[in-house]
Amino acid sequence: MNSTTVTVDTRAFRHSLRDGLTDIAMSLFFLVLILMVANPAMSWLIILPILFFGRWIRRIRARHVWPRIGYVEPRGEKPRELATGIAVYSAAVFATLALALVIAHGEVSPALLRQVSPLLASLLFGGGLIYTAQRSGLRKYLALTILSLVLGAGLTALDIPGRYTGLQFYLAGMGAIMLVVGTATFILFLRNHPVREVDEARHAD
Amino acid sequence: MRTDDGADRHPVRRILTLDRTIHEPARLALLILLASVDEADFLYLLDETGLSRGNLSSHASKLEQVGYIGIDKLFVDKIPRTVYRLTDAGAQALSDYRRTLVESLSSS
Repeated sequence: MNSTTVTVDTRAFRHSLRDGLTDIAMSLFFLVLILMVANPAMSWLIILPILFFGRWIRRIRARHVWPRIGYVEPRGEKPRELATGIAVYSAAVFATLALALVIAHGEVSPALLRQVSPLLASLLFGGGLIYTAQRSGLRKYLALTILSLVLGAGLTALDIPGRYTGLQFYLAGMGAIMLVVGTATFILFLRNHPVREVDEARHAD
Repeated sequence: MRTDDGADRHPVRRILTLDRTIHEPARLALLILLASVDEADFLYLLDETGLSRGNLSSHASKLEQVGYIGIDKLFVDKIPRTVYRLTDAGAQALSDYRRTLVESLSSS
């Protein structure tokens, strides 16, 4: 891939994040995760983001975003490479954290894993944020990565009593941050970009 | 213009074999953009290329006529959307164009 392709890809990827809807979708995904952690019987809720979030976002974008700034579908990662990347990164995070627990406590017990679950979640989510920051070149996602890690490490250090309470605080905290950031971005986006519907089909008419 | 069978091996004369459909800057810009994304609509291409609407429409039509790009007119949530994507033939033509140009320029 040459530098021209990288620049065009970066611009296209950044374009797809300009409206803040991805951030809002992430916050809703975190809400679903909170419910799942609080009550494992609600794990079926995970099908909501998988089945519907993409469709909802597409409908909102078709109505409010694409008529303003146009539509582009950035080149997707190859599914196999993406799955491998996620698996390798997750395995590395788990292994590093387990090693750190063994060094610090001499064991990896379920209680310790519960305690470090906010840090674990922040590292896993941070990987996605770093990828987004790197591909889009947007500093916002670097700031969110740092926030995520600080929140995860802080909640782990606080060792909040209760079953996965720290993890729920982390998810709620990051969800709230993503919701605020996404909503503010979306409102500013709508304000700063008037509808310019100039579809070629209409122009040709 | 005199050509001979050795034109494709001659470092300078190879330039004369460049695909003139792609060589036009506006069309080259369109192909480079579409080569880096899965698909894009008219408004996005308009903003990224800086072309006028008429120019964009006309150059896109030419690229479609030679089969380098595909144009789909579809409705997303009842809103019309004209979506452009690079075809396999377009990707191959762009790759050939790039190789010919780089080889010719690097021979100087």
